Order: sequence, then C-alpha cells, then structure tokens
Amino acid sequence: MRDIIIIAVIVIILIIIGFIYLTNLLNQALIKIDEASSGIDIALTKRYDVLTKMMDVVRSYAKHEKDTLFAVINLRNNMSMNEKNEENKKMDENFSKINAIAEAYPELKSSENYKELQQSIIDVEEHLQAARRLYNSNVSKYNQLLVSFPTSIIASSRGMIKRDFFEADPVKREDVKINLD
Amino acid sequence: MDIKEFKVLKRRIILKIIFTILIAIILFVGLTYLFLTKKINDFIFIVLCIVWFFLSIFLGCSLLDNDMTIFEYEYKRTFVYNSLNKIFTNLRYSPSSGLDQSTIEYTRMIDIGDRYHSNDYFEGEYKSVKVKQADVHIEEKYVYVDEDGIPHTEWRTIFRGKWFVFDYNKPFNNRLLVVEKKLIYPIKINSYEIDCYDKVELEDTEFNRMFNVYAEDSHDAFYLLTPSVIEKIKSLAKSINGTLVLCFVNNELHVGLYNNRDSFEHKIYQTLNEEKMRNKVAKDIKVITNFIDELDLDNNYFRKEV
Repeated sequence: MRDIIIIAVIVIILIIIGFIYLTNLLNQALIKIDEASSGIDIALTKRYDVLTKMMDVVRSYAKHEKDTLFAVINLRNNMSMNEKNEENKKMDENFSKINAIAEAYPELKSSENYKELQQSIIDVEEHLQAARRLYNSNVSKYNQLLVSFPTSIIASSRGMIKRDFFEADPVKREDVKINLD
Repeated sequence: MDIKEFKVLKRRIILKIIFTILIAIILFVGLTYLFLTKKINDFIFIVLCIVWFFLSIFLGCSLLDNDMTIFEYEYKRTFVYNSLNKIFTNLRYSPSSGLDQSTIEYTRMIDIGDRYHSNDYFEGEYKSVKVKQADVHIEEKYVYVDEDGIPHTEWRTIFRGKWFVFDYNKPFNNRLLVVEKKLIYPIKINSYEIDCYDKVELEDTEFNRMFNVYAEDSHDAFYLLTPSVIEKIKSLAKSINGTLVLCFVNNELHVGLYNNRDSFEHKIYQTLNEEKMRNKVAKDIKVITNFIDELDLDNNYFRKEV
C-alpha cells in the first residue's frame, strides 16, 4: 500500500512538473509571437511614414492627377492581425499608385528626394518581410503545439486558440528588388 | 620567372638534394668503415654519428634554403600575385603576413585556441566589394595523462583553411552566425558565446538540416537570410569542399572555410605545368569571387553613398 502511495505521489509530481513545463512552453511561444508582432508594428509604422512622405512628394508633382487620391491608412494600437493585413494591403495599393504616377512623371522619378525615399522603402520592405517571416515562423510553431499531444490538452483547457498568419502579397514573397534607374 | 626558369630551379634543387644525400651516405659509410675496422671505439662512433646527423641536416638546409625561398617567392609572384591582380583592384598581397588574430576573435565565431598562425594575406576589391582573405591555422593544446601516469601534450587543429572578410552593405546591428552542420572537420564553435544567442529555425527545411543559425536578434536572422540568400548559401555549401561558418558582424560578412589545406601553395615535388598551376590558382580565386557573385554582395540597394 505504501509503495502504491509513493508511486502515486511520484506520478502526480511528474504530472505537475510536466504541466508546468508544457504551460511554460505555450506561454513562451505566445511571448515570441507578441514580440514578433511588435516587430511587424514597427515595420508597418516605418512603411507608413515613408509612404506618406512619398505620397506628399508625388502630390507636389502631380497635383491634378486623379490617382493622387490614396487610400486612407489607419494604424492604431492593439490591431488584430487581420486588421494589420488590411492596412498593409492598403499600403500596397498606395505604393502601386505611387509607382504608376512616378512612371508618368520622369522629373519626379529623377528627383533626389524621391530617389532617397525609394532607398528607404527598400529597407523598410526588407524589414517588414523579415518581421513577417519571423512572426509567421513563431505562429506556425505555436499552432503546431496547439494540435500536438499533450500540449493540446493544456491549450484547450486554457482556451488558447490558433493565431492568424500575417499574409504577404505573392509579389512580396520574393526579395525586394526595386529598380532605381 | 617563366616556367623554363622554374624547371631549371627545380632541377637545381633536386640535384642539391641528391648531392646532400650522397654526401651523407659517403660520410656514413666512412664512419661505419672506421668503426668496423676498430679504428674508432663505440663512444667516438656514437658522437660522430650525432655530428654526422646534424651536419647532414645543416648541409641540406644551407644548400636548399635559398633556392626553396626563391621558388616559393617566385611562384607566388608569378602565378598568385599576377592572377589576383587580374581579378582584384587595389590589391595588396603579402604571402608572409596573415589576418590579425583579433579579426577572428572579434567575430566570436570559433574558439581561438592556444596557437594561431595565418599567412597568404591579401586584400582588394572585386566588383567594388572589399575583400580580405588569408589562410588560417588554429590549434589548441591538449594535455592528457596516459595509463602509466605520464603527461603528454598534443596540438589539435580546430580550424585550418581560409578566412574571408567581405564588406556587407546591408545595415544590421547584431551578430548572426550560420554554421554548417556537416562538421567533417573538428571545427570548434564558440559554444559559450552561442549559448547566449537565439537558435533560429528558418522556413527552409533543407537549410535547417544543413545549417545551425544563431542570432543575437532573431529579426536580423530573417532580415539577412532572405529566401534568395538561403538558396545561395545552400548552393555554395554544396559546391564547396569543406565546412562553412558564416558570421554577419559590423557590416561585414566573415566566412570561415575549413578545408584543411593551404591555398596558393605549390610544393617542389609537384609537377611543373604552367596551365595546371594557373588553373589551380584560378580555382582558389574562384572560391572567393563565387561568394561575391552568388551572394550578390555587389548589389547597391543598401549602399549609403549610392
């Protein structure tokens, strides 16, 4: 009887240790996602800033163009990943418009200010890609934990749900290469 | 010096070796004759044998040293320097100098060991990318006690190969290490340092199988190792004979290629064939330029002055 009690106590201790370990594993995965998510926020904000400057430059060159009506971007704190995706898509649209207008105005394209902003946007895009890949990598690991045994039991008992990936345009999955000619 | 002069020099060196061996044999035969005819006793014979041994070595060295130095110097000037000069601009080649130990220490990539040697240093520019390279040999002292309690000291190689430093114009702030898992040589990664880094898994499973990635900041790993860079590093690793260790630090890319050999060397006993010798040097140079070409190090997307 005594042996059974000792074994039962050992088993319970092991279960508790396992529970703590797996809970920590899930928590760490969540923390990594949050850290990576803040990386996306920073990159999106930088992208927004550079695009806003580009839009201002474009407007000053093409005052009468209809295409200078850019989508309104609304970046705020505590946005969900879907909302971030939406705002990022709007930025993509604006960026496409900027490029289209720049094509029509050679003097804009050759201006030093515009060239500098293009340099900046390349770097910003690269950072956004890196932040997206890091975030998605962490989300992938976390989502795998949610469906793997035994972490799935702890995750479901704590109401943990799958996180959304941060999508990217198929074009942007390639390395950033913007023609500076 | 042209190939004919190299051949003359080689013949002279071989003749001197034969001459030294003949002198040594004659002296030894003479000594043995004196000993066997009892003209000298055991003690004198042993002393003379020792004198004979050192005399032979001294004779060999004094006869050969100058020619060997000329051979090595001329080989490096005629074949190595001229070949490098065709590819690199602002070239500075110094066969007897090496990369400073602190350059490698600064990367904190590998254990620096107890004995450091580096030679065949050159620096130059290829496609406007600054390059430094040298042969590096790092050893550590290994002391062990055998079954009889006698201590022994061994020098164990922990890195032997080429070390390249390329300018990397993409700005980043933290160290990133990429270490090939194929440790066919006993390369010693700085494990103390690596424990402080994040081990990063990238999306490419083949790359993850081939390399370990350690980063001070995971973001930098994804920022520097873009999908196309990953593909290029994989293809370089497959095409190169040896183990690769890469470190991105201080806007430089350090590459350690552990292939257990010296580059830009031609031994006296090797065949003197001009075409083969030039091809051998070209092959060594190609390893360097491949990194710049394949990794697109000459791109100017991030170069500030552009």
